[in-house]
Amino acid sequence: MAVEHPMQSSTIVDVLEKVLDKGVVIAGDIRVGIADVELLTIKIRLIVASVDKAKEIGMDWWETDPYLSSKANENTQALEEENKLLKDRLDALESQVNTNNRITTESKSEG
Amino acid sequence: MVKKVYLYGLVPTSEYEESVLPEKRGFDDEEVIHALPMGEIAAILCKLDSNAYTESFIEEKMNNDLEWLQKKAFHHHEVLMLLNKLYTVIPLSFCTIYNNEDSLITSISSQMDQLTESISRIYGKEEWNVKVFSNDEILKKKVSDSNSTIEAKRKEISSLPPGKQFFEKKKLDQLVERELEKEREQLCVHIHDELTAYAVQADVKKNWDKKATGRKENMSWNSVYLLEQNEVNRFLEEVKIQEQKMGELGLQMEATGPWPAYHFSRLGQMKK
Repeated sequence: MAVEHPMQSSTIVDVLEKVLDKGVVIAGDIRVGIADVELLTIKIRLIVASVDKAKEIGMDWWETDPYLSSKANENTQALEEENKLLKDRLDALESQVNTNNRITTESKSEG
Repeated sequence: MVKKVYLYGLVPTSEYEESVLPEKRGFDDEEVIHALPMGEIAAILCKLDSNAYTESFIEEKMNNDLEWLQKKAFHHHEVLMLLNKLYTVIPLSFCTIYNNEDSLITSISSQMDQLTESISRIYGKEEWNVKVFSNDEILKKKVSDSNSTIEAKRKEISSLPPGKQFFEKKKLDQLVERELEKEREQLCVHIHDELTAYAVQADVKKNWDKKATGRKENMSWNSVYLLEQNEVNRFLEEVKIQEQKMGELGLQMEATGPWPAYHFSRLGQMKK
């Protein structure tokens, strides 16, 4: 189904995209420097991915020794692989954001 | 102790007086969400403990406590979805917080004209999002099979000696890649144009990385539309038509809505 209702199907991506949008109708007294929304979403997915994977594997897999259970071992490897990829991506984005933040902070302090 | 104020959204006071705001716990799970009418506009807010919700606390939580961020962002959004069902609402950004009620009143009063203008712009309308995802393998095959430039290049290569063919094939791959991007962009622009015909306003947003969407397909278009309520069904029909047409080219569409007018209620301010 191509058409979805935001409340039933909203992913964290959709919601963060909306609620953290940079444009501001009216500003509050508290000004929070937000990291890049995409970066935050990737970080959240990093957590969610681990939890989902853990569920997929079965609730009991970590109770057995992962090194003795080949199934758990395979899945751990897949998980580690995915985490590594996500972390690499994160590092790249983080260094980008640091540069951007500096610019934002400078322009803020001028205003 | 003076309490801080968490502001969710702004609604017309007349609409607020007509429909009761259901009782709901606020941002801190303790205080109740309520309305503060200020002339034509009423603020929907909840109180917050001033000592607990400092600037540094929120910044720290937002950037480093992702479970907190996720939970609170959904809370903020859930309240706005509720408001959007009941009223014409200007949704505010996550964590729009004032030091006290007086400060909120001063801020809103000073921008009353723009806010009422925003309200009238979104009154009776819905905000919808359309994302297009592309399975590049399918489109690549189409492009590779039907593009005349590629076809000519391929013929040319087959007549070359084997050693030269290797490098020329590499170049051909790059050409296919470029043509694929061009084709994908054109298809998305076409979809966007067709959909914009039903909208009062439309905008193109940034595409998200695969790592953020968690999908196999690339996001190749991300756009937002402001629709008159009576145009929504026709708009969604058009989405279906486009989806059927584009499906065989490997493009999938995803329409979501109605969203609180996060995007279009702030446009007036952005143009300043």
